[in-house]
Amino acid sequence: MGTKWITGFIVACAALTLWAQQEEGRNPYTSAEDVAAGADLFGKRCALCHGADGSGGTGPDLRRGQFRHGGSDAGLFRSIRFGISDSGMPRLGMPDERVWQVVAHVRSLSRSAKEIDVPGNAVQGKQLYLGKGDCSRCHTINGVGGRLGPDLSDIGWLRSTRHIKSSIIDPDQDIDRRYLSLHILKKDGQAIQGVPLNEDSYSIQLMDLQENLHSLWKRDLDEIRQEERSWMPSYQGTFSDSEVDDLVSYLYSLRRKTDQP
Amino acid sequence: MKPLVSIALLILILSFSASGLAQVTYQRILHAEQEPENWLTYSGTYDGHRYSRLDQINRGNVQNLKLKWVFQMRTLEKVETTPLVVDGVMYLTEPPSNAFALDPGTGRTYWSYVRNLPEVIKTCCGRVNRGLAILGERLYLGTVDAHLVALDSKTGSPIWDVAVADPKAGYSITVAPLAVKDKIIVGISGGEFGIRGFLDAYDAETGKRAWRFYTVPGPGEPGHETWEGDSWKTGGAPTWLTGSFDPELNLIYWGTGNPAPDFNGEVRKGDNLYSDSVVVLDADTGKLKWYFQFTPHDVLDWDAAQIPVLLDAPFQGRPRKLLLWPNRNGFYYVFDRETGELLLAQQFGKQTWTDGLDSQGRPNVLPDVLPSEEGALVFPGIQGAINWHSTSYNPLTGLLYLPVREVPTLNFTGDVSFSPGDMFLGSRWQAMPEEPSSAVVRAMVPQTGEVKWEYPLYRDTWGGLLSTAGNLVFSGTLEGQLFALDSATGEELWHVNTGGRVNAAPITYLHEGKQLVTMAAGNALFTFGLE
Repeated sequence: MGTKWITGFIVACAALTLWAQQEEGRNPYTSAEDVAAGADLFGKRCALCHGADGSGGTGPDLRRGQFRHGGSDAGLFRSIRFGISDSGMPRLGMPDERVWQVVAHVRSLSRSAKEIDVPGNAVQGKQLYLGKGDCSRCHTINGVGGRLGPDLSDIGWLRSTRHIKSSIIDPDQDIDRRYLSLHILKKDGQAIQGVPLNEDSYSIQLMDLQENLHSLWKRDLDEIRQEERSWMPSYQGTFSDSEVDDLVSYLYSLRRKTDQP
Repeated sequence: MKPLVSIALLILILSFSASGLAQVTYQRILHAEQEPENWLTYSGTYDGHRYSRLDQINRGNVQNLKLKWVFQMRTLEKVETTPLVVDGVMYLTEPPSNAFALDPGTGRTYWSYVRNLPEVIKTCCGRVNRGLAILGERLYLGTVDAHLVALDSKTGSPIWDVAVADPKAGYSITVAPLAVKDKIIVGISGGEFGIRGFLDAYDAETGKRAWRFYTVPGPGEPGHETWEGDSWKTGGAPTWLTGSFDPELNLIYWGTGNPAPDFNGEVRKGDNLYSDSVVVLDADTGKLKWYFQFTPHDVLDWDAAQIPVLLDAPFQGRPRKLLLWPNRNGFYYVFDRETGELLLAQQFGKQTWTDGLDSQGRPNVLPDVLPSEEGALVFPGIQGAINWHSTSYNPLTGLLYLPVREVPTLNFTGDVSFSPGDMFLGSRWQAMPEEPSSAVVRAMVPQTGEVKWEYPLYRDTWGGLLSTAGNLVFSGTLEGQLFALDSATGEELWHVNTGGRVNAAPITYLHEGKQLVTMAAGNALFTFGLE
């Protein structure tokens, strides 16, 4: 048997092993070099939302090792490779090998709950949410509350503590455009204020501050003004630093459970 | 009323209806026929009539219908949805399991709910969905991964999400749920996967299951003896089409699907209750009041997945609470829906499988039409003389309108073994393109089955029907034509080519005081109105 055949045999065996691992959904790229390569890609493609250390930002904290859309290697691969519909998580156009390396790096980020420091008292934070902060006037948790602000039922999955904190202290710093303040003046003189839902060349859809839905033809409007600020007030000064920590702790604890049969 | 006061009141009403979204109470759904500006439940009303009192669009002006907007869906699946319209907002589903709220004036969305699904979903016939239920300020969505989800009607945010069954075992939900009192009734799909069928009710507020009725009785329950051995465990009998509700009798009427495996009855000897049946259940408890099995021991996949039509009308000179049921097996049935008494059973579509029914409605099945190794030809084919597509009853004409199909299939039997989550068919069927087949829209006297008129279609139809007080019947064809007929004569008054197969039934409603008609075709929703 010539060298060519032996090399070919070894390559075929390696390919088969790789194929078998992928079929089972296990990550075939887990060496230290793969993790390092994954870290490099993560820094370039993922850190903007998930933070350089994976502690999250506008994207979830990845250090918890819990993943809503599948925590297996195959599940992570799928989320990275194909994105997650309507979540803000885009698909990453990379070869499979690169995606697996990112999976390896994401795995390496996992920390124990003790290592992920969340200051504050969640129980007191809940009281602040419902009482002093009156947060439920605009936010919903599990179907209870207002609709002008984001639904917070799942916020602990979706955002890092850092991002939650900055949203409380400085809501205008990083606003989802869905929650910009919108001012409409109709030709008949009626003024409507609210948040934008949808828009095209001819019409605009919004929710007003009383939570009514409107769909308006632009031909009927004198002015559409969208301000780069949120309707949410800053709570700096309203809450002490420890109260902010309590509130962050409460919000970070909010994770909707998925019922399984 | 002084003019200024009435104008102020009108403005108040208009501003309310434009942005609206009042609570959809049970009382409103109960009297849905009194608010024809809306479409509050799958069939329009609890009685399954799919009829509207609106008459702005009528046989005098229907030819002037113009396209208002098209909502393109991000899917290649069949669009089977019936939208709801509530106080100026339309709610609809997009396959596989997404939901939208949109403005019926522009077709532009207010919000979307996009469900992330597991990679593997088991459905026999596409990852489809037929619509939503609404109650209070919540919408209810069944998903192909067999969950029931409550969504906030103003934002689309999920409020609760409960697992109804295990999707890996072949269970899925494609049905539009039915809101009854404080409960959400939802059925299950999976008759081709050897599931054990059931109908569920959930507390609308909490998502807690209130009752479950197994359509395949377990040990010790009446009907269990109609399954040989352990065959009941994989007996099928899904509940994938929305039923009807009689509030006076407090009874739910729901059709059940085929027994599993579909084509091989040898492994499930017996009548196989309650497959291919109408089951009549107490709305509060889910207890069986009565049932009727249309096709005992079915081996031809003839699901009784039709819309139960409830009609209070004289029958042979006596006022009766009737239940009308044109069935997939080619026979038309009329029951007293209080007692279950069979009042009429007669052939309405071409059939070659029986030489008749006895006085109890039980068929004498001819042996040479059953699936065989060589294949046996039968009318109707496995897709039935009627399938799941909505019929319509119009109180102005007193007629029941139904799509009728005459399409045979060649059916084979074969070995079968059960493996959870795998297809469990017991062989196969094939279409017979060389055999003559046809379809019509038929107008029929419900008490007698007398045919008043027929409107011929080029091919078999998958479109449901809507009739209106404008003396119209709306539907669509397999080739993508939407059409309107004169409800008294069947004369064609309008048609338009959408270019995509029709798999759903139309609705009609008012937007800003003007009547619109919405129908799904291809992968889109088309809305028409007058100038």
